[in-house]
Amino acid sequence: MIADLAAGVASFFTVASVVSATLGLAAGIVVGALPGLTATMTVAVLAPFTFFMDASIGLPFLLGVYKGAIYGGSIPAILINTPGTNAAAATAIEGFALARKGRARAALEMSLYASVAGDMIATLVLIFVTAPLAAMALRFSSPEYAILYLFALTMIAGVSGRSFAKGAASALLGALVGCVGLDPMSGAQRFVFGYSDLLGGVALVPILIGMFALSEIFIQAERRTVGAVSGDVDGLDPALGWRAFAAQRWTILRSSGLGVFVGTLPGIGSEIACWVAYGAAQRRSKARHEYGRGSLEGVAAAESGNNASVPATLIPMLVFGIPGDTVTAVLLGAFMAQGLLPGPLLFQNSGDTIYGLFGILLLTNVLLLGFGLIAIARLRAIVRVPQAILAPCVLVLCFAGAYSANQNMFDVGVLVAGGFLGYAMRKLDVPIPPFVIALLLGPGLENSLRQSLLFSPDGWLVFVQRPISATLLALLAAFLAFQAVAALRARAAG
Amino acid sequence: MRMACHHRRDPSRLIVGAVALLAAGAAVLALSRRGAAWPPSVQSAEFFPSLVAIGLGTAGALLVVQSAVGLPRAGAGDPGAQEGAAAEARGRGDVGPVEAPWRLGAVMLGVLAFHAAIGPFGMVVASVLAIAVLAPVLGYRRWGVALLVALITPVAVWLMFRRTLNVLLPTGWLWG
Repeated sequence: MIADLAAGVASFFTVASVVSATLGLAAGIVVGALPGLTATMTVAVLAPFTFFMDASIGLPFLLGVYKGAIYGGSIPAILINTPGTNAAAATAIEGFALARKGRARAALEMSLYASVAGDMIATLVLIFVTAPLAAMALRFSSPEYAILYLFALTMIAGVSGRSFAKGAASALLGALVGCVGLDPMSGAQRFVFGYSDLLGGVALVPILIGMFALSEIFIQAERRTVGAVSGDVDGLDPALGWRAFAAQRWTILRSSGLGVFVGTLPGIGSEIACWVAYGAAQRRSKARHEYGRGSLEGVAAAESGNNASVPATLIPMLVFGIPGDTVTAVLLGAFMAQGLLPGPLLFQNSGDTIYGLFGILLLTNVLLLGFGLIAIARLRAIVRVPQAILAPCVLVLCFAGAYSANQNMFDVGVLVAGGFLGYAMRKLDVPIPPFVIALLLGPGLENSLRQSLLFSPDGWLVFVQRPISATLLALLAAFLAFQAVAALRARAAG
Repeated sequence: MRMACHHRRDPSRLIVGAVALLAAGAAVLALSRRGAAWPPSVQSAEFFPSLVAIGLGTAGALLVVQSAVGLPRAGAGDPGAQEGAAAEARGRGDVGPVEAPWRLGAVMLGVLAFHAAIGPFGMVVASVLAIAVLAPVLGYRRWGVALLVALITPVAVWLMFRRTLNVLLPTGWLWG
């Protein structure tokens, strides 16, 4: 493992790749810290830049952006109570309360240290777990994959919204959109309606940019005041200090563990991890009364939990091609655009690249510490950039990015359609992640399902005859039963 | 809190359910017009989309039924406290009423107009117009800054794509 890592680093680390990772990190922090730009949006808007670069330059840039954006999101969350990411929502509760007490810097530093610590722990887990898991996954064949995809989609439909039926509708709609284009087996056209641009399917990156970035601009436009800044942004307040950080070491360790666990589950990412870690820390806390009123422990738990889940979501993505959350979904799209098809064979075909990328993750994590401190000292005013001038510029970048992917205007139309669809879904309280992840996984699910059935003498029974898929099916049934019982209880209680 | 409040009907379920049913119906219609046998065989291109459409229709029907029997808003008595809180935070802000419908309408029209303008005017000119118009619509009042940003950003984006990525953004047929 260490030898693989060393070999990967040796072949992959060039001046260009390190510089591009550093630039990506800086860009990610700056863009992620802009108010109203979520981490998913940041990665989606900046991803097209990497399509035309060599993989050894483009992918480090993207991983840098990814890591920077997730950290950058905590800056506006703490300073102006606008969580840049849903994953920073718990951070916003405690961090903003601390900022109002004049302890913004302590909150920002705690968030940085907890993020880096959680991330480091999880990256090490990623490095040591992924390859053995991929070796195991080589034993998977179509029936296992079919059930695994179904399992991931059901999980994400179940946990990412307030209603399972809406989550399921979102996932199924995404899978239906994923059917557009040519049938992978027979080559017949499906839902193409005479548009030759649709033969290759609905372009992924434009629809992602539309659903995440354009819908956000619509949401901002409907507010009475667009992005009003409240809170102390420039105050000079005391630093965190080593002792205050060290006091949270067990909270950080526990939350990181929870984050890794949650992130590894297919289909569940940092948004859930942050609340699980935050809730667990609150239940165990000796200073429970501080929660909600500005708890450094709460910031430490939420940030280490959500950042630990970030490398962990890469585990199901790299091993099975299943993105853990929406940012990973965008990342997966960018990996595929670079010709890297995630899955167990990835380690056999591109082992050096993957271990090189793991090295980049470790490097950017160390750099994040330095860049984060600079950002806390120098970048706080960036949250003052008015969203009213920012949003139109983001719109221009979105259009340019959507066009650049395939260099045609049809994709810009897909972006606009994605924006309207995303807006409608958000207003109707339909979660977007199931749609996006089903759009990505749909083709894989279709292939594995049809292959299983074609080669099975007993039809659908193949899924219960094989031990791994039968186990996954049992887990799936248990999850559905739990959902149903929870819904019935809620009804009885209501 | 009064009990009735928990049992308030949630109109979004009905709307989403109806849309899901319609989409499923449209998909089945589009698939069946190709004259394939029913139920479609595993080999046929219609097999997987039909399964998805059936699932979508079922989810839609479930939502319509839920809305008819007045299911309480999920999350009210959720046993998983963190998940409830997470869902709460996630939904907050998006689902509320549209506070500035005229501005939303103007921005939506602006986005459509921007899309339509790229063909004739090219990316740079259309972007200048988009920023110059949308920033004031969104409530930005420093005209000088808005104009400067409107002029600089599109040129910077154009150069960035042209020079570093070698992508030629649309130049506009109006200019030949």
